[in-house]
Amino acid sequence: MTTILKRTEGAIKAEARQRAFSVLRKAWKRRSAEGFTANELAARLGRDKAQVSRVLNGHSPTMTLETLALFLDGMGYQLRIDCDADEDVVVPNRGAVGALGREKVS
Amino acid sequence: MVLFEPVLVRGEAYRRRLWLHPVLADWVNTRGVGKEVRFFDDVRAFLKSFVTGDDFDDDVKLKELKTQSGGWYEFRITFNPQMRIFGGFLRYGEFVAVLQDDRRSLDRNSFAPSIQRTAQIWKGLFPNHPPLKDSRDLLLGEFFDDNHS
Repeated sequence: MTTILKRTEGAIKAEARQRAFSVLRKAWKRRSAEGFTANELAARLGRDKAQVSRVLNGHSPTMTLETLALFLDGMGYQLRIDCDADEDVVVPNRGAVGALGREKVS
Repeated sequence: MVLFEPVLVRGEAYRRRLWLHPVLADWVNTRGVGKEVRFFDDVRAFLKSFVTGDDFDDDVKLKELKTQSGGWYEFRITFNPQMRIFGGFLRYGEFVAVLQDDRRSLDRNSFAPSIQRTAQIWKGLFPNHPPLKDSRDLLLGEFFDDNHS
């Protein structure tokens, strides 16, 4: 049987957290470039500015899906959640299976 | 040096290349106990987002250090405990990370010793190759190497 490499449970969760933060940063970069401030976002969300800044700068230990949705809404964005079956994903021409964060399954 | 090659899922590809100093690679690959497990999973996910081509074009995740010579960067691990990973670009889309330090100790001691140590390690590795200096867009572009399978 072919041995393949599978991400660990911890890696799957950590990569999801990383993606959530990247989505938040993407929205924030655009809005802040347009002049929208953390103060304004805090006021819109009814939150403390320091707390909002912590989340925007990745200092918050956990960002839940609810927090992400709330912050995006405050920035005039909508969170879109979707999924793809592995077999439907277009495989890029480049890249290979690597060595870290893996466990062997057969 | 150790090439950082995280497991990819369908649809992902290696867009950039990241080399880790062996001591740093050991640290990055720490499994950890208790809260450390999640921390090191997050560190690896953060670095994976770099090699798979995520947006690193502002100072929140990657920042150029203010030095006379230029070309030194820090990856900014902003979740706790905050860490910094130092290094520079060897080629476009190819980063060599040589050292990590705790943000709290950098607060106490300033960045200067870590930057100096980074430069020393780099010089030992690449005596005739100072870190690449160019615009962020170009440095963070895709890495192309015909020999890389």
